[in-house]
Amino acid sequence: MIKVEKLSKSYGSKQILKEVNLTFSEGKIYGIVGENGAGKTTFFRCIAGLESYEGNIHSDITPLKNHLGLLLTEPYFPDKLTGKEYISLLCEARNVNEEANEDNNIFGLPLNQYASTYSTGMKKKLALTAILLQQNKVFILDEPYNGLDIESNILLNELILKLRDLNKIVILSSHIFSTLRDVCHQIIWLKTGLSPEIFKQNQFGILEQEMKPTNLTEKLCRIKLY
Amino acid sequence: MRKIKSYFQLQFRLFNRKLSDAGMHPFLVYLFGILGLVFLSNTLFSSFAYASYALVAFSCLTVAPLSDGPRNEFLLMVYGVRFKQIIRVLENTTICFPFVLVLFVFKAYPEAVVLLFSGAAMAFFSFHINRNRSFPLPFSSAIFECIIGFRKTFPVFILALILSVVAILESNINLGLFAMGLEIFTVIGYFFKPEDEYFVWIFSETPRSFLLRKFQLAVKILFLLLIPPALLLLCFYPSSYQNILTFLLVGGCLLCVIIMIKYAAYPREINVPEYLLLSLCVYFPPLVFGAIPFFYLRSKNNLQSLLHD
Repeated sequence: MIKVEKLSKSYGSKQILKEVNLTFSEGKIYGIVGENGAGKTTFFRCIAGLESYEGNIHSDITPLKNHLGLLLTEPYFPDKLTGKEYISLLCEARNVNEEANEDNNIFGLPLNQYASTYSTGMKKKLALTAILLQQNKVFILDEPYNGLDIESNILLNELILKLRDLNKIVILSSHIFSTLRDVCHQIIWLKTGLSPEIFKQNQFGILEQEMKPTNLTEKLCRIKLY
Repeated sequence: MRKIKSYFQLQFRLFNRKLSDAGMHPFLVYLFGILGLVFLSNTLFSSFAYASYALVAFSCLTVAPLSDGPRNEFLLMVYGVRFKQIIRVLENTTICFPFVLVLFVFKAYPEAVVLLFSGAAMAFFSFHINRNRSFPLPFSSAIFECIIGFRKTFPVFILALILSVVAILESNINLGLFAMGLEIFTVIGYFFKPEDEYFVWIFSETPRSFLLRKFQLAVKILFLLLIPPALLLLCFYPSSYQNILTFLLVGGCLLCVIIMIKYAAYPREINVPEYLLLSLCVYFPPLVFGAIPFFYLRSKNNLQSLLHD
């Protein structure tokens, strides 16, 4: 279990996260939504220990960072490192004796090619494969569906459900509401500088209505298109 | 001509910016660059019979990356055929010029002329490197700096091996030691740039075990790379075993120092005072015994935020 208590984060005078209180339990999938800049990535980085913050993050999985698989929005790959070496690096770093091979290369990636030359979607698949092989207990997936083809999207959904069945904690963010609706137990709506709102499965319809954009016509009138 | 002028002004600005970002004052880099060239060419010409050829080969290698296919295609797209060719010839001759000057000073006139013309001629060629082609390495992925670095610099190790053979043929142990030094400094160079914090964060280790693992793996790889020239030299100059072993030992210690400097400065890049300290350790190796504990403690504390005890 991960318990977030009064988590606040500011960059200079701008408050991004304000007194966030959330609990994440094993065997559950949590979705995080919010407009660009609402603090989704910052929130993930705080849980991972990559950002300093005010408040507390408790977990019975200690140390949390050593059991956490973090998929970044735009995973970074060093130059001249092959896909296979990237996976071994992440596994060796966690002292896990796993290697990429034809069996676990579920996305069919060209593992002997340099990862930096992969397309956006392939990079995401590689980063995902690596964190899956790390044998983590918690998975934080920041916009995992971005850049993935339709087949991989379906495969990813199935993988997330399988992780739930294995009693893992999965927290993911996405701008595609339908994907979150299909897999999540709870969706958390982050709003810049405000406390987040939590929606359970039976309230997803309300969330979808609330998230619908307003003043669209007025906004469209503001720009002259030629 | 305005196009060409603005192109070179832009390149000059970009280069200076890169130096400043690395914590170096551009003026000092140019000054030390000139002094270094004078010192190194003087040493090379006084100790090596084929110094002029080595200098020609080195300057051609320096110019070669500018013939990179995508880069030339970009220039062609932006400037058109005529201006692109002028720019490329000017670029190559500008880079070759200091080496041509050195060759003139040391009275290697034919080599100077050959370099000037071959440098300019290289501007008319471009080559496409298959960036996807990789070759397997027996290095642990945990020390990915060495994997990446070796793939970028492997010609240096071939050159070092050739120099070791020449050292034996020319009965010049100093050249062999120079080859070993070249390898040591190449490997040290792999640790100049800080990696993305994600690649430190992923390790489930304490700062102490993280640093020790890095030292261990890096030194192992350095020794693996140094074995061929060291063995060659030991076979033909067994009486100089002390010098060869000293090079190995100092090389290993300097590698530990640079790793610690890197993580003491992390996540920023290593800056001038730290580079100066490394240079002092190179000129006076006993200093490493002070530098190692000093930077070890600093890097250990610095890594606390990403790797917890």
